[in-house]
Order: sequence, then C-alpha cells, then structure tokens
Amino acid sequence: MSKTNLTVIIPVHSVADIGKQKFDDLFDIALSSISRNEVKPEKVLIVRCNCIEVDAKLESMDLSKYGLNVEIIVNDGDTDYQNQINYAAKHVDTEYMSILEFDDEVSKTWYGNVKTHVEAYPEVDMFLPIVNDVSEDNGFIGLSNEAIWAYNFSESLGNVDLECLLEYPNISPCGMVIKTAIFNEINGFKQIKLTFNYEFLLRFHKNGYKSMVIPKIGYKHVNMREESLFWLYKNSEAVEYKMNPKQALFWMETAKKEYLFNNDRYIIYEENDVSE
Amino acid sequence: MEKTNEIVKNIESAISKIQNKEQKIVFLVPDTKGNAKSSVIHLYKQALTLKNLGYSVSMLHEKNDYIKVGSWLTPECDELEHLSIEDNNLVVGASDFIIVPEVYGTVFEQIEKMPIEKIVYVQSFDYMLEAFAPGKSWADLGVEECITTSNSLKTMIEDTVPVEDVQFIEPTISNEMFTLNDKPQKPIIAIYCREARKAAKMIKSFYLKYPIYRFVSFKDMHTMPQDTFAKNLKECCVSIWIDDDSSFGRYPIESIKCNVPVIGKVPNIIPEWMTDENGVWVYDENQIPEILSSYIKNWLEDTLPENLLNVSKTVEGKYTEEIFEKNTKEVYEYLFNKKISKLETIKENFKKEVEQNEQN
Repeated sequence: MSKTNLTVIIPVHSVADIGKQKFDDLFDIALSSISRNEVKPEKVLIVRCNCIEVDAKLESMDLSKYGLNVEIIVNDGDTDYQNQINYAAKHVDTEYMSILEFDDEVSKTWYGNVKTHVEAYPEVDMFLPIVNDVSEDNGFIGLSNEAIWAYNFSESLGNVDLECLLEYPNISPCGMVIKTAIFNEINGFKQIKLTFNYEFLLRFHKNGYKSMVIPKIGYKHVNMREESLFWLYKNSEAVEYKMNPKQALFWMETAKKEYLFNNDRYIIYEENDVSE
Repeated sequence: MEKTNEIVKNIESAISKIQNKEQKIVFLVPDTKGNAKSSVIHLYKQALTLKNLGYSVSMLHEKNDYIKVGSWLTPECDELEHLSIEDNNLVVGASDFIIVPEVYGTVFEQIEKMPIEKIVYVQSFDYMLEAFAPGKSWADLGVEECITTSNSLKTMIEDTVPVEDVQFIEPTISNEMFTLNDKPQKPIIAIYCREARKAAKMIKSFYLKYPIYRFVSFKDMHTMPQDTFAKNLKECCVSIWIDDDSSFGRYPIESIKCNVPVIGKVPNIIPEWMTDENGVWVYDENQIPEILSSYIKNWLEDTLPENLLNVSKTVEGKYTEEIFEKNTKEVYEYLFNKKISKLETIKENFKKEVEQNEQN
C-alpha cells in the first residue's frame, strides 16, 4: 500500500454537547496523531452532521497545520456513528479505509506498520491494531486484540476467525484498516445497538474475508469518554440510549443471529424478545 | 637392508599419498539422534568442504544404528562415507588423519599406537577439560595437532595444554538460510537454553511476573531440522539464549543474522562477536524476564533503540561460507604439509640411523 490508497474517516456524530475548547482539543489529539506518522494516509475524511454548531466548530479550526489532506463532507441523513461511517465509506476513493474516532489516537508508526503488513499479506482484507484502552484521564485500562496472537487462541496465529469470534466477542474494531470495496459490499455497519461492531466482524468473516491483528500497539482508545456512545448507553436516561442487562443480552444474541444476513433488517428490541 | 628399504618406501608412499590428496580424513562424530547440534554442524561442514576440495573424507561413528544428519542438516551430508566402529573395518595408515572431538578425548588412549595423524577438535573448553584425567591431556598421548573455533579459545588451549600450535576455524552460518524475514516479525520469543529446565524456568517466571504479555508465545528452538529452525527463528521478534558452556555461540549469531536481537546470558567464555550493539547481555539470568518485558513493550510500541533494529549489520560479511571454506582449506593444507615434513624428518632420521648402524 502506498500513501495514496488509505483514507481515514473521522466521524463527527454526538458532539453537540461538547464545548468548543474540548472539541478542538480532542480533534487536535486525533489529527496530530495521524500527522506524526511518517507514512501518512492519502486522505482524512471528516464526516459531520448538518448542524450549524458543528460546522462552526470545524470552520474555526486550522486544519491545514497538520499537513494532511483533510476533506469534510456533510451527511444530511441520520448521523449516528454507523450511518456516518457508512455514508463516508461511499465517498472513499482509496483501496483501504480506516476509522479514527475523533477522541482517539493512532501511534506514530501505525500507518507505516499497516503499509508493511499490507505489502506482506495482500490476501488479508482487514487489519486490526492491538488497542491500548485508556480512561478519559489517560489511565491504562488494558490491551485489546492482543489475545489473537496467543498460541492456539484462533486457528492461525494472528488471524481472527469466525469460530474464535463466536467464542470471544471482545475483539475491538477500533482503528481497523479494511478494503473499502468489501466494507461497502457487505453494507457496512448495521443499526444494531451496542453490538454493531461485533455483528460487523462476524458478518465480515462469515463472508469469507480474512483479518489479521498487526502485532503492534497502534491505537489508543478512550473508553467511556463522557458523552461517547458507549458512555451514553451506560449513563444516559434518554430512551434511545437506555440499556439494561436484558437488552444488552438481547443485542449480543441479535449480533450472533443477524451476521448471517448482509442486509440490515433493522432489528428492534421488544421486552418479550428475551427469554428468561 | 630389505626391511629398511620397505620402511623408507612406506614413508615415501605416505608422503606421496598426502601430496596427491589420497590420504583418508576421518571425522569421529557423536550420534545426535536426529537432533540439531551446533558442534556436529561444524564438523560436517568441514567434511563437506574437504570433500569438495577433492579429499577422501569419512565420518566415523560409534554404533551401527547411527542416525545420519541429513534430515536436519543438509541431504548432502548423508552422501559422505559413513563408517561404524562396531563394524571394525576402518583401515588407516601413516598418511591418514583422524579428527576427534574433545568430548572423545579418551579415544586417544585406544588409538595411541595407530600410525594415523591424530587431531583433536576443541569446540568447548569445559568438555575438553572434562575428558582429561587429572594432570594429563591428549598431548601425553602423542596428539600434537589441535583445531578450535576462535582465536580466544585457541589462546586458552595454548595456555593450558602443552600442544605445539593450535589452529582455528570459525564456524560458518548459512547466508542463504539465515536471512532477514520477508514478512514482519511476530510477537514470538525464540528460546534456546542448553538446559531445558532453564528455559522452562524463564518462561514461567516471565508469564507470572508479566501476565499482560501472556499472549506472546515462546518457541523452543531445539530439535528442529535446520531449514525449519531458520524459518521459525527469523519470524520471532527476539531471542533468549542461556548457555554457560558455549564457546562460540552459533545460536545467537544465527539469530543476529536474521536480525532478531538476542537477550542472553554472557557465557563463561565471552564470544568475540558479542557487543553492546547486537543484543542485551547480562551476567545474571534472573534479570532476563524483566529485560524481556521491557523489550516486548518497546517492540509493541516501536520504541526500541536503533541499534537493536539493525543487529544483522554487526555480523555482516562475517562467518560466511566463503571465509569458512578458505579457512578450512588453509588449516588442513597446513596440517597436511606439516605431516609431510614430519614424515620427511622421520625418513631422514631413519636413514641416518641405519647408515650409522651399518658403519658401526
């Protein structure tokens, strides 16, 4: 992979409540982390919602200082996380795409490692980093995806497979680098709450595509940032985010069933769906 | 007079055989039972080099059920002539040479009276001493020639054993097998300890102290055919080496050639190639788990120091097959010429003695 065929998508979805300074700071962390890479992606694609507040925040930022090819696109439709990524993916014109949440960071060698691994393993369709999970105050929580390199964990050392995913759902897609055509072909993320990432990984592998964990800490993910999607699931009183253990179980089971279908069947939760 | 002529004729015939490359060169080799063994690799490589130079080479082993090395080394090793001591059909003469590894030092007692030229091959100083009776050495059994693997070992032998002069042939590391991997390295730790219990201790200690790195696998590098060994070694991100008795250190050099840095314990005899640039060397093996955890952290984060990223450069151009073949040729030609001189001297002395006896 050369510099010209990776686009990094930064979705801007639930930022209305974030103050201007914090918004700027978080964006700065994300973009600076890309910029520090010697091997840079061809393009950074910011997909934002059509909202004056966000527009104003982005407008006021000096994006040129990062030395990156940054493009902003506006999604006029639904702008939750999944829709933003699916929308952006259709505007990606490079062979590979990746997602960087705007409050996360990539390591300064991540894209170089991606380049090396894409060249070494052209048969692999998705590369995942070892993720360094941190708290909002940057405290180390743990690593994700590293277990795939444990002996006998999956069928082949370093490669995620369907059997392993069904047994072990905690594979993080944070920072994944995927062939754009495949992401679009299998219809991207579904409107499944909580487990949409997991369902996507199951569906990707069910379709016979191959993934690999690059054995490098390539991505720093802030767990449970205030106002982030998963924080809202845990803490929000709003109906759309309300989630009790029963619902969580429902969405886990849904992921394990829905991955067999490439189309989004827009599953909704009803109280009597979960057997006791 | 007739007998005198016959003896002189025999000596001249032996000289002529050596001059015409008709002498037998016999390497006594231990049975590795199908497992790779560094010292045996070195002997077979010399045997192959001499064979390619047109000499008649045989590998002598103890038992008839000897397992040949072709399965783990190279198939051409099996094409060398193999003789078993059990068969009792080794016929040697004054023109012939036998190369005996230091561990078999006691063999010299059994072959003391044989007219063959005896050469002891020392690859381990400790093993050499173990084979001696107190106050005795193979020099007392008429062994005048010794070959070893490094200049420092040569000095140590010369300081200890009253031998005339010691030659050394540095081992060769295959430039074809031990190369940089064409794929990125993996979070796998290659481990090679002379004592298996030390490897087990190291692994357990590492996982207990650093459970976060339990996903990093260890690969024990013993008992593998050489090509599989090289393939496995080059995909690892680091090597662990503990071998107090090693005098050359084939394993770490193979690792370094593959650009896999070594975290190792400094052996009793410090190898000449060992520098700050090609590994992390400690005197206390208990420090290794901690150093390893730090290494793995830095490897995962791509923050290793520059020198550890390019360790293969520290042995670039060294231990090549070209150097080894040249060195082997020179050392053995030197020994052959020395033998010719010895025989010439014997012949002259014998003639003089006979003349003197006739005059008397």
